[in-house]
Amino acid sequence: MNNSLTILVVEDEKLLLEAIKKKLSFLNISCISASSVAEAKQFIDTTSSPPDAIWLDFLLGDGSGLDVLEYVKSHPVMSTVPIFVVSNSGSDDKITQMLALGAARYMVKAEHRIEDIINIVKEFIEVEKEGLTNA
Amino acid sequence: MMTLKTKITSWVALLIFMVGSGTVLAVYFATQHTQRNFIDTLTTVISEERAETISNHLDQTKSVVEHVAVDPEVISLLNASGSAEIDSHYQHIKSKQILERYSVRDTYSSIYIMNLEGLTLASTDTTFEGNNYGFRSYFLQALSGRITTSVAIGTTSREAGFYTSVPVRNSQLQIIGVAVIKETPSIIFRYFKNRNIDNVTFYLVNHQGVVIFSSAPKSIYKTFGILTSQDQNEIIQDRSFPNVSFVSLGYPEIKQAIIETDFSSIIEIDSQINRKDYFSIHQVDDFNFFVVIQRHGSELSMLNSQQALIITSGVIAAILLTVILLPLILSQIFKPISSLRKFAHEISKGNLHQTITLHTNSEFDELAESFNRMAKALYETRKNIEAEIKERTIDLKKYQLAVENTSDQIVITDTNGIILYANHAAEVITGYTKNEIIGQKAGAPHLWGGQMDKGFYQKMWATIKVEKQTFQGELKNRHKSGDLYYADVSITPILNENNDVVLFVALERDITKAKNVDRMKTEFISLASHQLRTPLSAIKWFLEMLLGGDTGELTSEQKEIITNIDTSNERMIDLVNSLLNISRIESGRIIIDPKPTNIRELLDGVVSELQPKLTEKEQKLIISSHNELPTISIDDKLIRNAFMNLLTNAIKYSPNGSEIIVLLSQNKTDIVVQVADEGLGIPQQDQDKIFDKFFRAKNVISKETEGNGLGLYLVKAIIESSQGKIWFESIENQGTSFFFTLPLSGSVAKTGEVTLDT
Repeated sequence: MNNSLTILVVEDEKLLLEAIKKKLSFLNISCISASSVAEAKQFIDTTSSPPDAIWLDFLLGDGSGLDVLEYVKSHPVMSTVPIFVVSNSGSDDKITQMLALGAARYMVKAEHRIEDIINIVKEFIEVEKEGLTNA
Repeated sequence: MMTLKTKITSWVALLIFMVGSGTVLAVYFATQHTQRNFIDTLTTVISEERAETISNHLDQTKSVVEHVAVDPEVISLLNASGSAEIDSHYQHIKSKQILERYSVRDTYSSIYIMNLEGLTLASTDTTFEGNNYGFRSYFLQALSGRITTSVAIGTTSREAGFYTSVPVRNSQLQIIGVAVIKETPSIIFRYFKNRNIDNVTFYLVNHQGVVIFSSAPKSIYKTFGILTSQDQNEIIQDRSFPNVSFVSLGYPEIKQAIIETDFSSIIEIDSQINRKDYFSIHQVDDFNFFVVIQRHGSELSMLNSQQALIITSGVIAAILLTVILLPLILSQIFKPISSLRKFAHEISKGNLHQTITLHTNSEFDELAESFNRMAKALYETRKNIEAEIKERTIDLKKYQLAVENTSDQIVITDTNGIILYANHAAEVITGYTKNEIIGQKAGAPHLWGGQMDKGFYQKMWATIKVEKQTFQGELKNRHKSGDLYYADVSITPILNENNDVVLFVALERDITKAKNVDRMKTEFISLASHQLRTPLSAIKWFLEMLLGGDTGELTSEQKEIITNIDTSNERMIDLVNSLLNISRIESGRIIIDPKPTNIRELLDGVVSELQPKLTEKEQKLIISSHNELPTISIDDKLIRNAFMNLLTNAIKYSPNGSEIIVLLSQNKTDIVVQVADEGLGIPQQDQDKIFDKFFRAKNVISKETEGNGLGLYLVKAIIESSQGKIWFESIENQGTSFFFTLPLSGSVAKTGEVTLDT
């Protein structure tokens, strides 16, 4: 396992965020957490090293995952970071919109185990890396 | 209008007139004929008899003169006449004496003897003696040996007479003189006079057509026809009619008949206009005289007109009697009819209680009885009808009240949609008063209509007016206040026996409230489900870590308990997902987004996803597909969900090691999918409820705790919203086959807000 993975998790539900953080730590994945759109934006603006992936909830207290997605995609450094929307809601046109704006995947929380989500993220990153290596 | 009485009287009078006229004519002609025959016969007989009488008379005279001619004294007188003693007085006296012996009739005016020169030698009338009558034709005829009788006016006596002459012969049979008897015609007169008959004129005519004697004295010495020049010469030579200037009586036909000696028939001559004279001619036997009888036409016509008058009077009298008496008789006959008419009139006025009784001893009595029965039957019928009308009126009022006061809006329109009736609910629902509604076009934009797109209204009119089917739908209307409201509408065309639309009945129910409640319910479920998902996700993820051993090894007991919690949590997640999907589909907010889809590939995807479950139960899934299934335009997410549900059920409710078969085929219009299992089957009594929301068959509840009764409900909703149909065949404990179709023409796209969670 690649232990150098870092994931930014944007989730406003404390218990869920705790579960995610806990699981990621068990898996030895670095986790940067943000519980609101503002926190996420702040991190994006201030960080010097972009994370390997962003775990993004859709409904956030002070906005929606869409705001974060748009912010990331317009960011010069962060724009290439794959974003995984993990939500319990979101209407179809919004999902379509997210995917159109460059979200890597859209997943429903209750339908997935955390490990499954992380595996999807990992697989995605590895495939990308291989692609880059091959290129 | 003529009364029957007048009509019958007129007809009978006319009939009598015609029959009478016919009779008059028949009698007229028959009488005329008979009379004519009778008179013809009479005339003929008379003329014949006259002729015979005259003939007999003249015959006698002839035989007398014949005796004179053979008298020896006469012969000797004539023999001696050539000698000198011709004038001997003795002889003269003697001769006279001899001749007077022959004067047997007082009508003999003279008997005389002539010598060959025509000189009268001896005569009973002494004035004749010494005169020469040698010019007379009777003398000349006798000289040539003939015995003749002729008529002439005496040159000496100036009196007309019959001259019968006979030649006198000597012993050597040489003619030596002539014996003559002149007879006055008085005897003839007598004959005629004694037998005078009205309207009949008798004539005795000589061979020249000269009337010698007549019952009409004026006619004497006149002629029938005209004398020929030969006749005139004869008369001049004969000097038979000295100093007579002949005037014609006319009737040349008579002269002609005399010349031709043709007396066979009665001669009919039109003497004047409308008058005919009838002539009968008979020759006096052996003599050159003719009896002519003229019957004047006036006699016959007068006779006939008298008869005609009598008959005509009879006819007129009959007609008058008819005209006077028949109405009296008829009014007796028509009296019962008049009573019946009055009775019928009373009935027509509705007076059904009366009866009529006649005592005519005829069919009228039976007729009156029939009238009474009819009146009674009418009374009964009217009573029944009145009762029925009353009953129906009550019924009708009931219906009217029901229609008027029902909570649904009821509007009745003509074929053009013009409102004829609107009930009270229409006023409440639309906000318009009946006065504002009636006569207007139903659902016109200036009233409550026009809120739907054009296509909706077009389809509605096509359904009710062209297809003549009931239209059902949901529409948005505008209340008079401007508020919009939703209504369930059902419009039914009312057809007549020719299948033509005569009316439309529109039933509308304001469903705004129900719709709002429904929407709120849906929104609530949706919201609640979303909210439920968050804690469920948290439980799921924490349990995941516990079960995954992230927090250290669990004891087998702990592991069992936590696994049970996890299973329950998963069921809860499943239930929430289903509820969400249902709320989405029911809210109508679901997006249907058809794309060309290869249904086989879609099915393969679902199967591969279910493979772990199949493996777990050691079940075999066989797909049998039509070779060249076309791609069809469907919302793959929805159809995928349908496949997923049907196959999940098949796996779940079939025993381990059984077979599940999926058949993909197509007919002319659809792709047909069959999912067949060898599972529990659906009990007969549950089959009609199998697609109901939250319904689970009794046999699966007891055997399989998992399941929320929403799967098949959702599948049905999906298939139907994709314009497909779904049904099944099942035998309990043998298996179930679900069938669904998808139109080859594809599903209709629908814009909306949500999709299903998969």
